[in-house]
Formats: sequence, structure tokens, C-alpha cells
Amino acid sequence: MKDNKYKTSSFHKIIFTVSLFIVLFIGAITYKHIENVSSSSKMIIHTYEVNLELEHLFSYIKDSENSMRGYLITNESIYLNPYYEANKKINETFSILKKLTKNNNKQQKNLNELYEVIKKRLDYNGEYSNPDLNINIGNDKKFKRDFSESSKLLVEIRTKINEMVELENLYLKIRNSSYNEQISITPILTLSILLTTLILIVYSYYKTSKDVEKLQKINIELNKSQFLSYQAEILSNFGTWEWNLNNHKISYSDNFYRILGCEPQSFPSTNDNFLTFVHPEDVGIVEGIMQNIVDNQDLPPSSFRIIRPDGETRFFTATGKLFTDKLINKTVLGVTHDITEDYNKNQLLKNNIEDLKKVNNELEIFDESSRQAEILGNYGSWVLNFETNKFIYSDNKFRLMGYEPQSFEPTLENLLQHVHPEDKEIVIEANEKALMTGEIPTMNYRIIKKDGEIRRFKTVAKSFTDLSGEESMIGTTQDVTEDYIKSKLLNERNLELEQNIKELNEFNHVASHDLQEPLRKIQTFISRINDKEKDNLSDFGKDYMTRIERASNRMRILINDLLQYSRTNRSEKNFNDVDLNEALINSLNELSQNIEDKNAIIKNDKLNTIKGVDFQMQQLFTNLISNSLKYSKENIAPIIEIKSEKVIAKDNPLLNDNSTRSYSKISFIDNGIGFEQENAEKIFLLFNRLHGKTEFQGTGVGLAICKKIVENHNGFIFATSEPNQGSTFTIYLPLSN
Amino acid sequence: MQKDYILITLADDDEDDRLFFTDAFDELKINTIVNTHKNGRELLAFLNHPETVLPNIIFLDLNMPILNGIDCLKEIKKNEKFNNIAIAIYSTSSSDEDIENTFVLGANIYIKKPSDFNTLKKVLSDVVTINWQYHTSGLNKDNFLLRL
Repeated sequence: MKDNKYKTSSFHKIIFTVSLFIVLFIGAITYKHIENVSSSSKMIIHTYEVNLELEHLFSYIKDSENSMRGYLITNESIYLNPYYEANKKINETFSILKKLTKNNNKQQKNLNELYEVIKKRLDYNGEYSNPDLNINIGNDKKFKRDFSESSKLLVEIRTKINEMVELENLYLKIRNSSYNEQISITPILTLSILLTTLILIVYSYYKTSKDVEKLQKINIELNKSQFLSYQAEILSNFGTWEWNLNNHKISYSDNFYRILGCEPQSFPSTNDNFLTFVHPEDVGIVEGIMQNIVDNQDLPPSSFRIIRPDGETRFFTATGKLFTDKLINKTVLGVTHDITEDYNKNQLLKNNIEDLKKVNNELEIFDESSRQAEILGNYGSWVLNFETNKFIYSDNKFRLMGYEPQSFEPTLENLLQHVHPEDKEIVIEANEKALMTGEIPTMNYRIIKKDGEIRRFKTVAKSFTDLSGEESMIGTTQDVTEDYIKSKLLNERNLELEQNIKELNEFNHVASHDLQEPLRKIQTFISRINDKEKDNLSDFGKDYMTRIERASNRMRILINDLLQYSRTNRSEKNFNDVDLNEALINSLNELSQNIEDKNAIIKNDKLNTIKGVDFQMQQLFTNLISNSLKYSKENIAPIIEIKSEKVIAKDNPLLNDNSTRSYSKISFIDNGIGFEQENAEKIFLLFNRLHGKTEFQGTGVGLAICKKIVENHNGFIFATSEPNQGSTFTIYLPLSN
Repeated sequence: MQKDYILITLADDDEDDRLFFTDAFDELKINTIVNTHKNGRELLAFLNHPETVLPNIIFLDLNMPILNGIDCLKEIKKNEKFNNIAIAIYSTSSSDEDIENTFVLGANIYIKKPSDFNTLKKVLSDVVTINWQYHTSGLNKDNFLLRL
């Protein structure tokens, strides 16, 4: 559009020059022509003058002739007056004629000849003009001759003048025709000037109006684009500015103010004012930009931050270009764009990309680790695409079947070739089910590997819809042969164990009934003998009877303890709130006779309430207290202190528990005979005794039961002692929060 | 004439125990007529026999071949003819399970066989002299097991 405008303008110039030239040219021609016409008309007038003067001349000659004749006839001098007058006039006329024909050689020559003739004539007249001369006209021969001569001369003059007049008339004729010729061209010329001018005027009017139209259109376009750019500025968050490099005046667009967070034109547009908006850290950048504009008259895209009056920080990028207009005003036109949103989006995008990279990285790691996991875990994975009905196998899936990775096409047919004939139906059914419902149950089937080895496979699969909406089934197939063998073994072991437990229970039954039955009968028979036959026995027999009685009693205790131990069942999980104070009271009641016999002193703290089995707690306390009573020092009344406190697991290294679980710690401290600390763990073992049977009665089951009960309650039991210094049994029982 | 005797029936597979049982009653100064059976089947046959005079107390061992005490107890309690007879469980076992089961099935007292003859005598004496009507009305798990 710009180029077009310039073209029009130069075209205008050419047209204007050309038309000026044409008008001038035509004008010059016309001027010349008019000049020609006027000179032609002058020449015509000149001819007429010459003719007139010639006529005058002849008439004067005639006058002089006449007056001469009158004088001669009358001899009266009065007639001579006109003669002189005429002569004078002839000379005058002659000189005029001479003057008039100055430029015409032919006429000059004619005039000279005429002059000769006229002079001759006048000379004749002069001879006779003398009044003193008395001439007899009729007699004088000379006169007669002269007269005829003079008449002849007059005719000659007449002829000469006519000749000249003829000539002049010829001239006139020529001049007239030339004049007519010229005068006829004049209107054509005038009209042509008029027409040419008219055409030029019309053309230039047309051209101008066309241009004006064009300009108007351009103006409308400009208005439109200005309007658009105004809106664009608002919509796209940018502002424009102009920096006149001649006078360093700067102007900002309305939106420039808006992106600075101000009302349009609310402050003078100067660099200093602008700098007050710039982020303190970026002032250097902006000053550099301004210097660059001044130095290089250019602004490559540059970014900086500003702070709006409301404190919001925005990211700007500015760019400018030198614009030189026709007035040679150098102006840098610039656009400043608020790219905060873009920046934020970019930042977000960057973060997203970072995240994606991270995820990708993790996926790669995951992929590699799952590849290794497949090898380690003896499994392979596969994907069945429902759309294409095609399988993809992982490398290890091939290896599981005894093949090199990706060495055959994974299809159902190829898979079935390797499935154990008896299990083919399972796989076919599962495949059908997968295609119908998208689900398959966990499958167990056998595979015959490439080398003929039979392996057991287990497959689980799930349908999966990926992000593109494609449905497929992702499955994992594991070689569970080892597991199968192991679990088979385990099952066998379990059966064995169950058998063992059954046997143990049977043993319990035997112990409780069948073993007790004969024992009870032995004892009953002993009591019968003691009652009825004691007197018949010798002392020896009596002693043996006593020993039998003691042994059988001991056996009874042993059987009872053993029964109790086996009844302290770990599987007893019927835990209730147990007030340990109550359990202790019951224990003390149970042992009251024993305590009384030994004069024992029992002191106890207030105990907690725990979750547990009440009769087991009672059993625990009974066993511990009776143990202390049993191993008391001779002749010293046993003192048993029962201390209770609440503790946190991590504060007690013995518990080997770093949690904050709380326990009830109960210590049974006695003043009994104690034991070597090295035996502290042994004493909790079944049937383990530190002393001879005769010194202390006992079966070695009591403390084993204690340990079993405490462990059954997820607690701990420890013993610390020193010989003769008493022992301390400490139990930790978990508190229910 | 018969009213002066307390009729006692025992079902126990163990010959020795049957001996101790009868010996104990022989030595007690209580008028009792004791008859014994080797297992639950025999006991039931005896009870069902039309000529049998129903006993006052049945002592029932638990661990018996052919028909054990528990099943026998169930049969007795099923039969209206003799489900009112007082039943004393007489067993070596004192397992909670057995005590619980027999209590629920309607036995009146649980005796753990003592290992001393004199104790046996005392226990049997106590049991046969119980006022069953009174005992049964106040029966609970705690006094079900006879403690010595």
C-alpha cells in the first residue's frame, strides 16, 4: 500500500510536468502565430499606404501639371502657387514613399526610376516657371517639342506609378492570402489549447479524486488497524511507545499505562517516570535498554520486571525498531509486552517437563528394575491387545518357556503348543473368557519347555484401558514350580505337624486320664494297705510303703504341673480387661496357708489393669510367689515386695523395642536364697531345676508356665539374682493404651 | 423294706474303680444297695428293664467304651421315665471342658475320683446324703464340682 502511494505521487509529478510543458509549448506556438497574423495585417496596411502615397504623388504631379498649364496659358503667376505647393508635396510624398519602400528593393528601384522620370518632368516645368520668360506657346518650336515631351513623360509617370501600384497589389494579394491562411489556423490552435487543457484538467481531476478515494480507503484501513491495535494491546497485554530521537520526546499508548497498572495518560511519559516502576534488581537492565536505544537506535527483545503500584510484580519484554518518516524524524517505535502469564505458563510448563523427565527417569529405572525383577522372580509379563488380538511378551516370558527373547511370535497357538496336553483346556477357556468378559481367573497350568522340562506356571491378568482408550489385558505369568514344590512340601509338613499336634493332644489326654488312672489306683491301693495291712508289715515294709507313697505323690504333682503347662495354651486369645490387683488377691488367697506357714510378709503396690486372661494372670502370680516362698532362706521369714510402674518400651533396652508402647512393669523382689545370674535364663526352661529334689520340692515346670503365660500376653519376663541376696523377677505386660 | 435303702447305680468300665466303689459303700454305715455296670449301654439296658427298680443316684464315669458317660447322660436326660434321677459324674478327669459339658447336660454333681480310699468314702457318703431337692435348686457352676 505504501509503495502504491509513492507511485501515485511520482506519477502525479510526471503528469503535472508533462501537462505544464504541453501548455507552455502550445502557448508559445499561439503567441508566435498571433504575432505572425499581426505582422501580416501590418504589411497589408503598408501596401495600402504605399498605394495611397503613389496615388497622392500622381495627383500632385497632375496638380503641378495643371497649374503649370494654367500659368502658361494665362501667364498669370497666380497659377504658379499651386505649382509650388504641388512640387513641395511631391517631394514630401516621395520621401514618405522612399521610407515605406525602404525594405523592398524592387519598389525602391521602381521608385528611383519614377523619381528620374518625375524629375525630368519637373525640370521641364521648371524651365517654364520663370515669369520673366515670355514664351509664345503657339509659335515657339521648342515649347512645342517640350510640351509633347512632357506629355510623354506624364504618361510614363502614369505607367510607372501603375506598375508600382500593380506590384503593390500583387504584394497585397500574397499578403492577404498569407494573412487569411494564418487567421484561419488561429481558432484551431485556440481550441486545441482549450481542449488539451480541459483533458489534462479532467484527467488530473479524475486522478486526484481517485487518489483521494484511495487515501480515504487507506485512512479507513489505518483507522481500523489503529482500532484493532488498540484492542489488541488490551487483549494481548502489550503497550506501544514512540521515542523521538531528534527531541527525545517519548509517548506511551493508553495500554502501556494499563500494563503498568495505571490509568491511561495518568503521568508524563518520561524515562525517569518509567524507571520508578522497574523492579529494583532490573533497573540496570532497563537503563541499558534506554542507552542502547539512544546509541544504536534499536532495541532487540529484552526482558525485565516491573512492580505495579499495587505491589504486583509483572514480567515485561520490550522490542523496538527505528522508524524514519519523510520529515526525517528518527523515531524508535516499540512494543512492550506483559508476558507474566506466558512466563507463568512457561514456568508451569517447565515444571511439567521437569516432572515428566523425572517420571520418565523413574519409569526407566522402574522398567529396568522390573526387567531384573522378572529374572529374579522368575516371572514374565505380557499384554494382549483386544483390538488387534495380538500378544506382546516380555523377554523373560520367552526365557521362562526355554526360548531366547522374542524368538517366536507370541500367539495363542504358539503358547498352546507348549502347554501340557492335560492343561490346554484351562488356557483355551481362559483366553475365551478374556475375550468375552475382559477378565480371567488366576490360572495354574503346566508348560513343557523347549528342552522338554515340565514347569508349573501361574498367570494373573487384568484388563487395562490406556490413556488413548485402547483396551488391553496386562498379565503376569510366573514360574511357580519351585513354589509349588515348596508348598507341596509345606503341605506335607503341615499335615505332619497337625498329626504331631493331634498326637500331643492325645498325649495330654493320656497324661490326664490314662496316666492318672493307674497312679490314682496305686495311691488308693496304698491307702487301703496303710489302713488295713499296716500292722502286718515289718518296719522295712513300712519304710518301703512310705517311699512308694512319696514317689507316687511326686508323680501326681508332676503330671498335674505338666497338664497345667500344656493347658497354658498360646492360642488362648480371649483377652479381657484384667484388674491385676484382683488377680493378686486371688493368688494370695490360694497361697494363704503356705504364706501363713512361712510367716511370709508380702508388700505390694497398686497394680494396673491389663488386657489378658484372668486365670492365667492369677496362675502367674501364684507361681511367682510360691516360687519365692519355696526358695526362701531357712529360719528367715520371707519378704516379698511387689512393685509396679508404668514404663515406655524405648526407655527399657531389655525389651529391644524402640516404640513408645507402654508396659506395666511388675517386679517380685524376695529375700530368698537367690541363684547365680548365669542361670537366669535356664530357670524358665521346662523341667529345669537348680536344686536337688530333696532340698526343694518342685517339678521345674512353674517358671516355665510363667514364661509361657507372659509371652502369651506379648510380655517379657526376666530374672536377676545373686546367691543369698534374693532374686528379682520382673515382668513387663503391655498396657492397652 | 426297700425304702430304707438308698439305691445306687454306677457305670464304670474300670474293674478296680468298681471295687473301690463297692468297698467304700460296704464300709460306710449307710444302707445302700449298689449295682454296677461296665458301660453306658449296660446302664441304659438296666434302666430300661421293666423289672428294674429305678435307682436314687446314678454315678457315671465319663471315659467308657461302647457308650461313654456324656452320651449316656444325654440318653438318660432324654427319657422322661428316669430323667429325674440325680446324676453324679464320677471321673478321673477334672478338665474344665468335661465339667462344663456335663453341667450343661443336666448332671447334678461332679466328683473327681480321689486317690485316697478314706477320701473316697467321705465323698461318697457326702453325695448320697445330699438333699437333692435343695441341692438342685441352688445348683451353679461353682458348687457343681464337689470340693473336698
